[in-house]
Amino acid sequence: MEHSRGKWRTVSLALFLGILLLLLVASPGIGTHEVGVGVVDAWRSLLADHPDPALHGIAWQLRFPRSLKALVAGATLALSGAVFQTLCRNQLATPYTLGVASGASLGALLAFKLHWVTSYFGLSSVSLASFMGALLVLALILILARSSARITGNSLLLAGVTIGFFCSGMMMFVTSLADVTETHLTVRWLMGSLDTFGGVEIKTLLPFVVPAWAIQLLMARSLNQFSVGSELAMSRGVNVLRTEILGILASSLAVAAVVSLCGPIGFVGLIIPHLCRLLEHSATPMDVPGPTLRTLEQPRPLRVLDNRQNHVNTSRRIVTFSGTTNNIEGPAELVGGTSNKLMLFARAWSSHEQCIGGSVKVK
Amino acid sequence: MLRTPNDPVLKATGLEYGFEPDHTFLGPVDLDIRLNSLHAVVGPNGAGKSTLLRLLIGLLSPRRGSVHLCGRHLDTYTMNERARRISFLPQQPYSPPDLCVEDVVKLGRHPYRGLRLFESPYDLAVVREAMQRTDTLQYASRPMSTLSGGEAQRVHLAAALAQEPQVLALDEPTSGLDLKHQVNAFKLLRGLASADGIAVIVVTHDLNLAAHYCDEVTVLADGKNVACGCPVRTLVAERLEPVYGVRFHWAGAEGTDRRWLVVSDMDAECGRGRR
Repeated sequence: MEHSRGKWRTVSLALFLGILLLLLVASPGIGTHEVGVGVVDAWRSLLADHPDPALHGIAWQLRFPRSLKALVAGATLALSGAVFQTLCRNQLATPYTLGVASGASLGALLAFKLHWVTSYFGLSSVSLASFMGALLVLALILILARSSARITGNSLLLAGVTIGFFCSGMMMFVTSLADVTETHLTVRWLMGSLDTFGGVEIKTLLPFVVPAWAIQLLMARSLNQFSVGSELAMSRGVNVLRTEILGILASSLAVAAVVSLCGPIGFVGLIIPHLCRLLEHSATPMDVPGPTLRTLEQPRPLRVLDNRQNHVNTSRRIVTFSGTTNNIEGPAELVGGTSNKLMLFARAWSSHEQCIGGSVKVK
Repeated sequence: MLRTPNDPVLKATGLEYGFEPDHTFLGPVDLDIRLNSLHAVVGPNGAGKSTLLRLLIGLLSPRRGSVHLCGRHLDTYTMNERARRISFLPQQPYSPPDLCVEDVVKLGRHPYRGLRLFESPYDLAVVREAMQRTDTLQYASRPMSTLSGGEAQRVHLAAALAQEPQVLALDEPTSGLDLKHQVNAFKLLRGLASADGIAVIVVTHDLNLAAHYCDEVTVLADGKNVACGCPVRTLVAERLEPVYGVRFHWAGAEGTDRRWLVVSDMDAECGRGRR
């Protein structure tokens, strides 16, 4: 039994890493056939001395960076979701239920609305505002949750949901102050998108995201102990308070980075850790090496696939949307529909083509 | 280090604790816990039993007084060192529903794993033995959500044993168990103390089980240690009655030397009961 489970872990890990690699390799060639850039063309243009600039641009400056973005965003959201779920010992905990992502969104939105466009050390003002928003919310929920001597999962969640509501309300208010063009852009961004927004580049955020991954993975084993309760964890040598603070801080900053990169995307942080647990059959949200690695890699196929539609969506000036939906995107829409942004989904579903991409991009 | 077998593995001196700054909830309490012994802490609700247990194993810091583990002050141990010597079973450990039994027991190896990615063969052997001792091996691969309360309790005990402790501290391990499981649990603890040489501290409400299985009993009342010693001399009716506010009798069975504490309310004894 022991043996077969270990084997299943290895096989499934290899399988999913394989799928991920395949999608990544194929992604420069995936868009719509009408653009006429296939996988082979894309890779040939990368290796050629004098590639066709249009072809090269589509494959390697539009499609491939989006895939990478999807990869980073998915991995970060899923890992952070797993950390939050473990620390709160609550399956509903995500960067959203804890209000951190809402704080980051509000920050980014304010920067956008107030036309605060600068950059410090290569870090754009939108990212900075996101960080500030997330940290402010974090400080607030920690103060609220620390009314008793110890931070408990439920008080943290309660404080998080409360602050989250407040931030959502503020975002509505800010949106209502904007003019039509701004409102349109804001709504588009609030739907979550891999498009570039506010000049945020992925490489400027890696210094925040990659250390956060490292911290999250290194504390995976301590986090496992939280699954039987923080007191038992403490009795087994886990520094409970340090793990809580460090885990929440690292995850919040990483989520803020992703929010500034591609807007609020709630679905990944909530459901991917659960999917991984289903696959694992027997695991905590975090366990090294199996589930954690899978947590890391799982979102990528989803997001990369998603990217295909997204690309079509955003570059609709080049091509018209072909309307293809394959089997994988179908369920993704379903899950998206059941999630918190039901309204946006319905609206996207019912209206014009440019939003169809948005509905696929699960919220 | 322990110099002689009789030196206490855990020695508490003048322990005091309070939840509010100006109010002392517990203490001062002095207590010696020896290897090879099963030590029960009894007392009414709110007497400070669980608090005392947590102070003894370092989960709470005393306001005054100190705890020495193997002759060294408990504060000088790192959290990991401490976890390798003391394991703990809280009253209601959380059972992660989708984790399988074996994985929960493996969590007990945490203080030994360091940065190793996988459990060593030794880890697995210890886990297996702990599950054998607690009779949980047959459902090793079942998810925790499918277990009954008694089964889950034994799984958590197995995890505590997998920690290879010198001191095993349990907070009301028999609460919520049926009679057979209560007796079995105490038999197991008795075996751990005698055969494995572990010091076992158990907080319990069952005076009869404590009397039959334990080597030493500490009676707490209002945060004070009112009696400590072997059960025969400690659990006497005159001492227990003011503590619990009920009447105690010792009743014996025909042809055996085992005796049981029988409880009645204070009025019944004086003939003022309703019936």
